Amino acid sequence: MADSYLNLVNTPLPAKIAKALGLPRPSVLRRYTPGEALAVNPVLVAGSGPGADALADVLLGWDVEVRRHVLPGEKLSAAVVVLDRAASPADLAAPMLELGQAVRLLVPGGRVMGVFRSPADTTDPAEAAARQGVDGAIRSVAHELRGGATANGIVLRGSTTTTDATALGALRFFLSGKSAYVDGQFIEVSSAPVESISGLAASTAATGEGVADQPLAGRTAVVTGAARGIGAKIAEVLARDGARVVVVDVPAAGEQLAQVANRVGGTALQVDITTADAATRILDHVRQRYGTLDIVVHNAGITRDKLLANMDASRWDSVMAVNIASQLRMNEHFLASPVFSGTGRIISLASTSGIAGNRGQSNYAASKAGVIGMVRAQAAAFDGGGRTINAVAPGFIETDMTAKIPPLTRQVARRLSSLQQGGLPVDVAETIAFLASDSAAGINGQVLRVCGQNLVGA
Amino acid sequence: MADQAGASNAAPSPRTAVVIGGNRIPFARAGGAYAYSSNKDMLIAALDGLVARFGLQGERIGEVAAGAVLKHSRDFNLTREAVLGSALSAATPAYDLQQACATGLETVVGLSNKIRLGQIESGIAGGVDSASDAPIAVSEGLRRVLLDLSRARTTQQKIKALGKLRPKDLAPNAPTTGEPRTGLSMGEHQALTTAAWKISREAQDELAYLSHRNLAAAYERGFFSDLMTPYRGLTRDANLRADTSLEKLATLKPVFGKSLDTTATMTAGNSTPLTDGAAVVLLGSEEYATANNLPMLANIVDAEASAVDFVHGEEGLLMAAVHGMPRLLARNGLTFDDFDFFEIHEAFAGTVLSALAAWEDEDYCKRVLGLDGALGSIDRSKLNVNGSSLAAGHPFAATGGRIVASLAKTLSEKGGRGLISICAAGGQGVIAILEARK
Amino acid sequence: MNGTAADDVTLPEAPELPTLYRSALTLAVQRRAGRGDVPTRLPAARHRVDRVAVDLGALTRFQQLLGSPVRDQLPSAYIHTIAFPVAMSVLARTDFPLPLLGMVHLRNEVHQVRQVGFHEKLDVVAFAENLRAHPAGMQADLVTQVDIDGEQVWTGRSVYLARGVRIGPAMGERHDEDRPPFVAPAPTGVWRLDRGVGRRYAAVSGDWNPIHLSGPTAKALGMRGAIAHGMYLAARMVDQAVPAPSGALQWRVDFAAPVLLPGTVTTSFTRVASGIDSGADSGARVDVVGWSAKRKRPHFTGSVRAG
Repeated sequence: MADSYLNLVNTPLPAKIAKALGLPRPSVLRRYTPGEALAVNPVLVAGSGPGADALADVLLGWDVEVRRHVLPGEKLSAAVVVLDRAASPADLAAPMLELGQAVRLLVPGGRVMGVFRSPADTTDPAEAAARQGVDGAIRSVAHELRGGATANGIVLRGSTTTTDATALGALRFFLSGKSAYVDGQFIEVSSAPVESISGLAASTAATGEGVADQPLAGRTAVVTGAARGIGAKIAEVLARDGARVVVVDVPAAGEQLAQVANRVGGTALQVDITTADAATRILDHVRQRYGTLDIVVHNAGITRDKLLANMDASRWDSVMAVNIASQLRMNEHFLASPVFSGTGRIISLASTSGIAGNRGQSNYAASKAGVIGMVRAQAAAFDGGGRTINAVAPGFIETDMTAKIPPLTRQVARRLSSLQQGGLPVDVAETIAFLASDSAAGINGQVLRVCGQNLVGA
Repeated sequence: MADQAGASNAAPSPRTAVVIGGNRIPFARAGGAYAYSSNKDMLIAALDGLVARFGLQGERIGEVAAGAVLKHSRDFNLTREAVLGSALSAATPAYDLQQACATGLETVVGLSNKIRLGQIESGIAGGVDSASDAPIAVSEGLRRVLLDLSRARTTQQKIKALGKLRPKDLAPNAPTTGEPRTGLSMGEHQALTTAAWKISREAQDELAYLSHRNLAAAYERGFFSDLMTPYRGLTRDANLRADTSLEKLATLKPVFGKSLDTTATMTAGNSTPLTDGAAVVLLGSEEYATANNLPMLANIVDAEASAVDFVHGEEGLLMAAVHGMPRLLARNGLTFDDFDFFEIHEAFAGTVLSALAAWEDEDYCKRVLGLDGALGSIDRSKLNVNGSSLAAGHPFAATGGRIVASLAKTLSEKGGRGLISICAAGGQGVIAILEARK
Repeated sequence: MNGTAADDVTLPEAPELPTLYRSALTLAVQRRAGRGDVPTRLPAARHRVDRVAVDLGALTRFQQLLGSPVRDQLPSAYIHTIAFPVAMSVLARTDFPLPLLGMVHLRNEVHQVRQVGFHEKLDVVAFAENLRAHPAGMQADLVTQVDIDGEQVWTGRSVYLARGVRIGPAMGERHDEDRPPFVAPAPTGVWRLDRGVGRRYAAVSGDWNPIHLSGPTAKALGMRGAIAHGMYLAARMVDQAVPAPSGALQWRVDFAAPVLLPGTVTTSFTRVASGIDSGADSGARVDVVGWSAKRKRPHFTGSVRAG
C-alpha cells in the first residue's frame, strides 16, 4: 500500500537520478495537522474590484500576510486570483499574467485559487466566455504546477459574494493541508440559507477564528463501510473535528468495526445496509443514543469487476445493491424521519470511474454514476432548505482495494495524476469533513473529485 | 405476554437492575479459530466489542465480574487484567468468579444485586473459556519436588528434594471435566440421568435439531448483529450446522453411557462439544441507562442458585436447577404458564429433557421436590427459541452471558417474561427470571 | 470376649510390619518343612501397645492419597492403619494356627464412638477370636480396640480367610449356583486405579504386603497380579460416603473379587433411611457397592453410617 517510488525519489541520490532521467518526481504532499498555520508565506490576492478587496481584508483578518501584487523574489504560500467581475475574455489577461508571476514563487505545497462566477448564471455570451475561460485556465495551471502545489476554483453562483461564509469556508479548505489531493477542481458556492449556518460559521467569516479545532462539535455522524480503509479514516477525521460518530458496517466486519469505534470514541452498529430495515436500525440507534442525525456519509461500496461481456447477474446486482440502491432507500427513510436534522448533510461516495467509466467496471461505474445522478436530483429538492447533499469522487487512493491492482497498473495509475501519486484515505476524509461542516452550508449537489487531477475523466 | 401473576413474595427491591445489551464473540470449536487465543484475549475481545457497541471508551464502569472454568494460575486476576487490556477506563474495578458452567449467569446475578442495592450504577458481567488453551499442570510429584526445592536452603536439602523426583513425575496432568468426587465425566453423569428418565435417542436428536434450526434462523434474520462481534475471522458459531437433519443426527454413534446396561443414546450431535468463546452483558440501573441514553432491554427480576447431592445417588449431577425452580417460582408467585420464553442451557439434550420430564412427573415432584403435584409442563415452542448450546457450543463460563443477552433482546422485541436455567458441575444450577420492560 | 488380663502382652512400641512379614515367612517355611507344630486353637493373648502417637506427616500423606481433606481428625480407616501392626503381631505369633502370608481379608466392621484428633495418644489392643470353618478354608476374626484415656473410641473386627486350611470338621463344598447372580445397581461414580496405587498406599499405611506391590511379587504369592489393598478401598469408601464425619461412625465392608491393578471400579453410593442395625438408632446410612463393569462381578459391598 505504501508508494515506495514516491519515498524513493524523495531521498537525495535517487532524486538526482530521477531528475536526470526525466522520470516523474512526485512530491510529498502538505497535509493538515491540527493547529497548522493557514499560510506561512504571504498570499497573493490578484484581481481588482470590491470582491477582491473584501477578500483581501478577510485574509488579513485571518493573520495571513496579503500581497495585492507579486514582489520580486518573495515566496508565496498561495495565489488567489479574483475574477468575479470578468465581463469579457479580455478581462482575464492582467490577473492571469500576474498569477503567472506568482506561480514561479509558490512554495512547495503552494495553492492557486480562482474565484469567479458561474458561466451558467449569465446569458451574455462574452461574460460566459470569460467565466468559462477561467475554468480552462485554472485547470491548465493545475497541470503545470509542481512540488505538490494545486490549483482549484471557487465558482460563485447567483449573487454570492466573494466573502460569503461558504466561499470563505471553501477558501480556507483549499488553503489548508486538508485539500492536499484535491487538484484542478471547482466548487460551486451558493449563498446558504441563514438557518443552515450556525453562529460558528458566521463568526468564521468575520474572524476566521474558532473553527479550526472542532468544526463538527456537537454533531452526530453516521459513516457506512467504516470498518476499514477510507470509511475508517472518515470516522477518524469526523471524530477529530468533534463529531460523535456511529460507525456502520456489515456484521462480518464487526471486529475491525469495533476497533474503529473504540479508536474514535464512537459506537459500532453492525448493519448490512442492503437490508430493508437498515435505515430504521440506524435511526433507532441514533435517536436512542444521540437524539439527532446531522451527518450521513454513504461510504460503503464494493467492486465486482468483470468485462460486461462476461458479467453475471450476481456481480451486477450486488454492486448496484450496495453502492446505489441502499443509498436511495436509506435516504428516503432518513429524509422522512424527524431524527434527521433540518440542517443535515449527506455526503455520498462516488468515483472517478462513475464520471469517466473504467474498463471492467461497467457495474461499478453505473452505480457510482448513479450516485452522482441521485445527488444532483436530491440537491435540487433540498435547494433553499437547510440540508445539503454532495458527492465526493475519489481517484486513485492507496487502500486495501487498490492494493489488489497488479503492480505495474498500480504504478501507472499513480503517475497519471498531476500530483504523480495516489491519494490517501485521509484526503478523501478531509474533503468529506469539510462538506459536513457549517462552512460548506452553501455547497449542494456538487461532485467534488479527490483525485490529484487524474487524467481519467478529466 | 402472560397476564400479571400474583403479587411477588420477594423482599421489595429498592431499585431495578436492567440488561442494557450484550456482546459475545462467535463460539469456536476447540482447536479451531481461537486455538491460540487465551482466556484473557477472548475476554478482551468481548469487552472491546461491548465498548464499541455502546460507546463506553474510557468510561469507568461500576464493576466488571467475569470468570473462566478452565483457568491458568497466571490468570488469577483474569477479569481485571482483561479490563486493563480493554478500551474501558483503567479505573474500572473487576473481580473473578467461578461457579462452573453457571459462572456467567452468577456474575449477572451478583452485579445486578449490587446495582439494586445502589452500590454501583453500571456493571459488565460475563465469562470466557478456552478448551484449546487449557492449562496443563505439572504432576503432583513434580509439583511437590519443586515446592520443596524452593524452600530448600542448603545444597544438601536441594539434592534431597531433587532426589525425590521420579521419571513419571515429568508427565503433565491435563485438566479433565471429570467430577472429583465421582470420577465420572459430565457426559457419563448425564448418561446416568438420561437413562434414569428414559429419555429416548430420538427425543434428544430432535432437541439438537431444533437448536441448530433455531440458531440458524436467528442468524438469518440478523438477530445477532447487535449481540456479537466477530473475532479472528470467525463470524458465526463454528459449531452451527444449519443443514443438519434428524437423519444425519441419527447416524452418529453414542459416545457416553456405553458402559451402562441401558442403550447408550448420547452422541456428539446431542451433546455440546468442547468450545472456545467469551460473552459479556452490560447491566445498569434505570438511572444510569436513562442518563446515558442507553437502551433497557429487560429487567432482572430474581435468581436462585441450587445444588443437589449427586455423590450418593440421590440426584443426577445436572439436575440442581430442577430443585431450585419450585422455590424461585413460589417466591415470585409464578408458574410456568406465566412465562413466554424459556432458556434452558443445553449441556446435553438429555439434560434439558430430563429436567422437563422431572417437572412433569407428579410422583417425582411430590417425593423429591416436596410439592403437591407436578410442577408443570413447558410449552416447547417457547423453549430456546433462538437456539442454545447444542448448536452454538458451550464455552463453559461464557454461556450465561450468551443466554442473558439473547433472552433480554428477545424480551425487548416480543415482550413478556423469560426464565433461564443453567446446570453446572458439582451438582449445581442457577436459574433466573427476566422480564420485559413495561 | 475380652480375655483375662493375664493373657495380655504389652509391647514397648508398635512392631515394624516388614519384620512381622519376615518372621511370618520363616514360620511358613518351617511349617511347610514339617518342623513346628500347627496349633489348632487361637491364642488367647491380647497384644497391647499404649500411647501410640500419630505422625502428622504420615497422616497428611494418607489423607492426600485418599483425596480427602487434610483435616486434624483421623480418617476412620487410618486408625485401623495405626492399629494394624499390633493386630499383625497377633497373626504372626508362632502359636497362631493360620498362615499369615496368603490370608485373605474377607470383611471389616468398625464401630467408632467419636472422632479422634491427631494430637491424641492411642492405646491399642488386638486379639483373635472365633476360629471357624469357611467353605474355602478356615476363617478367624481379628479384633482391634483403640482406647484414649480409658475411653474406648474405636473397635474394628477384621475377618480373615486362610484358603485350603482345614482344622476340625470341614464345611460342605460351596456351589456357585447357591450364590445369587450379581445385579449391578445404578452407578454413581468410578474409581480409576493406576498401577502404582498399591505401592503408594503401602507407603502411607506401612502395609508392604507383596501382593499389593507389583505383578511379580503378587504372582509369587499365587495372585494373578498386584491387587489393591482392601483397606485402601475401604478408606475411600468411608471417606466418600461421609466426607465430613463429626461424631460416631459405623461402617462395614465385605470384600469379594480382588481389584487387579491397574483397574477400574464402578461404584454406587446410595443414601438410605435406616441404619446398619436397622434399629431405632437410624442415622443416615450410605450403601456402597464397588464392582467391575466389564466382568459384571462385585469387588466389595459395604455401608457407612454417621451418627
